[in-house]
Amino acid sequence: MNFFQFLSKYAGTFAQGALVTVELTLCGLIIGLILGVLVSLMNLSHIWPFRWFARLYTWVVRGTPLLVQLFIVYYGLPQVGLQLTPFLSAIIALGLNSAGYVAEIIRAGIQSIDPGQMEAAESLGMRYGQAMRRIIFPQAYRRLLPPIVNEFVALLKDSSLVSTISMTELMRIGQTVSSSTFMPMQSYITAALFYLAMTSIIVFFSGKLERWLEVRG
Amino acid sequence: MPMDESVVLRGRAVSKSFGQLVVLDGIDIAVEKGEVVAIIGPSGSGKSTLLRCFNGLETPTSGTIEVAGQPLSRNRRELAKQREHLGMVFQRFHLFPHLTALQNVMEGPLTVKKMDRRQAMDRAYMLLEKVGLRDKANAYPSKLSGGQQQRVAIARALAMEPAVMLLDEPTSALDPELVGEVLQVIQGLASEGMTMLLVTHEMAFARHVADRVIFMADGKIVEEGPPEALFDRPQSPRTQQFLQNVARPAHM
Ligand SMILES: Nc1ncnc2c1ncn2[C@@H]1O[C@H](COP(=O)(O)OP(=O)(O)O)[C@@H](O)[C@H]1O
Ligand SMILES: [Mg+2]
Repeated sequence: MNFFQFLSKYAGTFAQGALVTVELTLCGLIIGLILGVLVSLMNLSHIWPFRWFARLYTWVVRGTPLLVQLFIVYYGLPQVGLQLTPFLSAIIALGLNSAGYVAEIIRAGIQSIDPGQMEAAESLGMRYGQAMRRIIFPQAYRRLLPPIVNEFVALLKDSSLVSTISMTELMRIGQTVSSSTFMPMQSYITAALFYLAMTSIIVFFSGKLERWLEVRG
Repeated sequence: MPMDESVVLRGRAVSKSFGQLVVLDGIDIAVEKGEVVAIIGPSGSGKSTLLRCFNGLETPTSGTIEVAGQPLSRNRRELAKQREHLGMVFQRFHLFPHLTALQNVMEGPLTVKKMDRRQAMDRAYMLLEKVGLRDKANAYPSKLSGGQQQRVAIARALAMEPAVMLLDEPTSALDPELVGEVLQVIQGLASEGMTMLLVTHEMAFARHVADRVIFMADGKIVEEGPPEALFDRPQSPRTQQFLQNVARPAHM
């Protein structure tokens, strides 16, 4: 069986795995964005316990491997009576992990805005929250797009780690096909091509989105 | 002390230190309704810090600030309310770059005063007209010259209908040929009776527009008086020295 015969036989199976990878990544990213915004707001808060918690959170999440975090959620939590499905465990671990990175991206983005903007907004009589919403965020979000897209791509690649908790996603399909066909080279190269296609699509559309935002002033 | 209705802005024994550095050292100042007060002095003498204390961007280490007879609140919500009475114009404009000139001027009335959109827009057009930039209403700040940006910034501050305007070296960041158009707008406000506290290096302009000039050095008020007196017959050697050193810009 040459590579093209291999592809025509297994492409469908890989595509199904890729679909699960997309689901995992999107769910993880959405959780990561929501929690990341919360953590970054805590980080910028005037209330010190919030600030303290946010720093602790990003420190722990970014300072430990995703694989360890995943195992704690999937294998560790049942020990305290919380048995989650592989899918739930996967998106929780991916979400909590990316929240740490997203929070840092947002914090850096907001702090990159000239402090004069906040002062000008407050001078008009805006309250802190109004100034954030009307003046700071709208300027920051354009700068956030490129690093958030990087995070999206990284998360998609990192999602391959959840193959270790028997999630049948793209990487896991690669392993299964490899062991049933005894063709590991073809199997993993096919998996790699699927990953490459997906990350390229993300980069392509984010480039378009970025230019569109620029055009709008 | 009886409350003086005509005093819009008052600082009593205002001092401010950053760590060991004493920036303001017992400043007493009162600005009356309709008065134009110019502050001059060498760079680093605390002029910006004083203005920032007046609208709560800095908190004095000691002393009190009163706006329209009310001490400046430490409560953020109340402070925000009081700031509506103070129009601030910065040296570096600080226009909102993601908004057009018109939107910059509308922003305060819309967000803070909750003004109706139509009304806010009409007022913004009127104010842009007043600063001579009606035709630039839909331009983003990055497409405007420094002088135009500063005029939009003045319109933005005016949109809140402040009781007093605080202007911190409004022309210092401008190319020389753009200074005149901004001074002209400020001159216009003065002749309409707007109360203003203006920090400036434009001595000729200060003499022309101000009712009273204050000379500050090392965080203290060294000398103050009507412009003719201060510029032509300065009493303190420190003032004399400063006036000799400043290169006199051409009259506007
Ligand atoms: N936030 C700050 N922290 C520390 N020092 C400051 C701060 N703001 C101003 N200063 C110092 O205070 C002094 C007076 O500054 P400023 O009020 O800007 O003077 P001016 O406007 O008269 O040039 C300067 O020495 C400046 O470095
Ligand atoms: Mg200054």
